[in-house]
Amino acid sequence: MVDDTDIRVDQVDADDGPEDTGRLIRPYAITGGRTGGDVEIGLESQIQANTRASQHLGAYRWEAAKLIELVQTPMALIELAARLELPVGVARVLVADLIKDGAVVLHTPVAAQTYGGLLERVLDGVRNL
Amino acid sequence: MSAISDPTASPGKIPVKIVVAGGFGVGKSTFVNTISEIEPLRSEAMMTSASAQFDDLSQVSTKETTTVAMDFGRISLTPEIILYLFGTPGQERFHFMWNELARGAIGAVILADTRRLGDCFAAIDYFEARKMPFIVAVNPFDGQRTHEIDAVREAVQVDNAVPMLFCDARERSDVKNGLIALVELALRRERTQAAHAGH
Repeated sequence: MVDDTDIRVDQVDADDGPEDTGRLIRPYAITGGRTGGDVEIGLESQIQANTRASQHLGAYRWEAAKLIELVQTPMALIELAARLELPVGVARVLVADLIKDGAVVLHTPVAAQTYGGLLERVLDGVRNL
Repeated sequence: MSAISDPTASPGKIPVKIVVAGGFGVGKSTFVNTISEIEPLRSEAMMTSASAQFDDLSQVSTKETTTVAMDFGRISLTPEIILYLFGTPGQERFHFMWNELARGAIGAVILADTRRLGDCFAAIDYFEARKMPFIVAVNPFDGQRTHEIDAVREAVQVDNAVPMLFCDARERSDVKNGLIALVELALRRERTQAAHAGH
């Protein structure tokens, strides 16, 4: 379960601009001020919800529930962050917490160079675009 | 990690990535959005970096928090492979975040604007130093292909082995050709390395 850290409510800074997310808390307040997790989650790492967690969204805090909803099919960390309108670092901490809970799972990407024949397949794919 | 043992996990798709680098306003976002299958998305990376560029010495030891916007796009290449494109600010002061972007990447498409060729030097230096595959895509603003590619090559001083092509970031076929050129280069490199390793 995600920490029940108190969320501090702050005024939105004036220079946040009109396209601001409307978020009234400092982004890292969501993570209790923590900026890192134990697992390494790359920008393109694929994250997917555990079906059991998806059926109990009410058990999670708003951000976590929203995150779990978004990853019913695998989604990359960077896309998840953008859709949650959170900085990548914040989304990464949330995901790390949910991995510990078993609420989401991580498909770790492999380096392109170490995956036999991958580049050939990528080239075919790009040519067929 | 639970990723392997979790029965609910579908067979993971393989994410691969390409970095789209270049100076401010050179067309990185356009390049990404022209070929991406999802609507334009922008993600923020908030990073704290030790700041070394203050004139005021009293501030030298302070940390600077920088918010960097990254444009990214997604393309399903095959049922198993997803390609992510990351459009990233090319200025040297953002190099601290390039390491994460570049890790595991196939390589980089470096966009160059013939009116401001100097803006792509930082990106070229970065990928050259790390021996990562990169190509230089010259975005002909206003359709002016007035600079010959050879002249651009001369100006940015890259090796003849570095593919260089015109690429109108608004044209899907140009963007596609840029990606093909990069992946072909990466593949040639991989094969050369494999051949050397076999000796």
